[in-house]
Amino acid sequence: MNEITLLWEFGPDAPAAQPSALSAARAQLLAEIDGSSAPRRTVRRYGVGIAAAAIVTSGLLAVQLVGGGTHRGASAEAATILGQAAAAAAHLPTAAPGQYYYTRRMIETATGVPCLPPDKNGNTPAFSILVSRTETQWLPASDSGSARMKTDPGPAHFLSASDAATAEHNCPDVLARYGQVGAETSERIVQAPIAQLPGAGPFQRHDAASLAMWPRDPRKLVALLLDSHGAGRGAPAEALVNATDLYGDGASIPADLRSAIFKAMALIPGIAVVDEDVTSDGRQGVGFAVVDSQGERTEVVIDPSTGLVISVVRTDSKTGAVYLRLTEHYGIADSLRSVPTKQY
Amino acid sequence: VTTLHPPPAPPSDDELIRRSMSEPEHFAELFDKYAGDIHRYLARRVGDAADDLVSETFLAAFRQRSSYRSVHEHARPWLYGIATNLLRRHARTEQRRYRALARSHDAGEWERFFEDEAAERLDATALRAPLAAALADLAKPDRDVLLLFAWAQLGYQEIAEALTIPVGTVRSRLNRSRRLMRTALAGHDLTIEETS
Repeated sequence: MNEITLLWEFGPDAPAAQPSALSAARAQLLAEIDGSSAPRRTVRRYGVGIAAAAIVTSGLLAVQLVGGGTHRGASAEAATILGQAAAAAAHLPTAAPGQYYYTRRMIETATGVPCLPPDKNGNTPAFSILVSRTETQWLPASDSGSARMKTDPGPAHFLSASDAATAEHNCPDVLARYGQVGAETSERIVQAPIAQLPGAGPFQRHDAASLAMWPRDPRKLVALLLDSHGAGRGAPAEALVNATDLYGDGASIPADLRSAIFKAMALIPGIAVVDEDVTSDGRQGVGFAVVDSQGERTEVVIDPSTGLVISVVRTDSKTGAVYLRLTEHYGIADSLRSVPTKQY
Repeated sequence: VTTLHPPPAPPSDDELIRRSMSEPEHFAELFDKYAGDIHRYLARRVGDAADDLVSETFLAAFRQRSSYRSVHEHARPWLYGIATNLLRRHARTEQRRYRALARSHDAGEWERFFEDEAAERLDATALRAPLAAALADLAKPDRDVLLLFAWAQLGYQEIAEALTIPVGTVRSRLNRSRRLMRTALAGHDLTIEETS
């Protein structure tokens, strides 16, 4: 036993990392990421980046196409549905001063986890897990006031028995760490103008004055959405992402702008419309999908009865593997601590 | 879920950092890969202060990512280098921690030895105090190299990259620190191999 081995085995003990400590550190990093000035993409709004591994489509996680077809451009039927959605959006209740726009997102991300460091033969086994969480926000109806943001972790579990065996055999330490990451609820209340809240960007977090400036003419709006495509995925894919970012705060977006966003989405070159789409939690809607230059397909599902975005799914267009899936619910809360009884 | 499938090869750290330039969210994957290891390394050196330091490490790394250059496929040396640099502000805390550990083991371990029937464990545990004392006595640059080697398990080239010093300097600092450690432990009844 030499001094290096002695140091490893009998040097000062390391207090085990508390889940809350790693969660807090991770949250700070994500806040920094959210606040960075690089071009924004929808996925960042939902926290964790798309991870290395994908879930192979097994019917469990893929958005199912029920009855309707997928085709390029807005069909007459889809146009009708969009018209209905736009009309419905105009009738959604709006929050009064002192109330809050409530949004709850259930998010699932597939993550590939390498067993590092490599073993003595230089091999790096990997396993895949599914991580879920719920992000809830309360945005004030007025342009100033407190906003509340809360993240509740969901279970992280293996995608398969093979993944479980790989992890338990090759890297139980890594496995234990993944069981801890994100295991704590995080919550913060931010007092700042809406435009300065975490997640603000060119298409996100607008106050009333800013929202009033966005064009309601779908052709002018789609031109703006297509004009910002800095992430290198191609203008149509970025435009869809920009549209969902602009839409990101849901019910707080004025109905006429929401309607214009729908119509602008239908004008994005190469967009496919799924006339009848079903989300993972069983709600029906109409989907808009674009495949980017890297083969990643983003699909946004809108509920025609409310005009709200109810789901976003990102998949590998070739294999059907799902990278991310989320569903959203909206409502109007009377306080920062209350949960609306009526949700959409 | 029982579907079996081969997981796709994960992207390299270089690739993740490159992607994070246009899609910053990818940087969170580096956190998930390394935060636990970095925390353990920091915790062995400064105890509870590791909680804040691990956060500072990844925030600094994220802000510096445009200058990231690695000759390796993984970002471990780079991250350990940032963490080690941040430890400079905690040098006194670290030294106090080692000295306190040396005192506590001196005072308490012998009582437990009488309850422990395992003689080997007795001998090894008895080394905790001189180990901690020897670490406290090392110069900070030597200690950085030694602990990156022993606890972070980086190689010579990786330590050189982490600390941006020549490999020859790594060798000389490591040789010196190991020699001092051996000297400090020499009076204790445990075989110490001579190592180059």
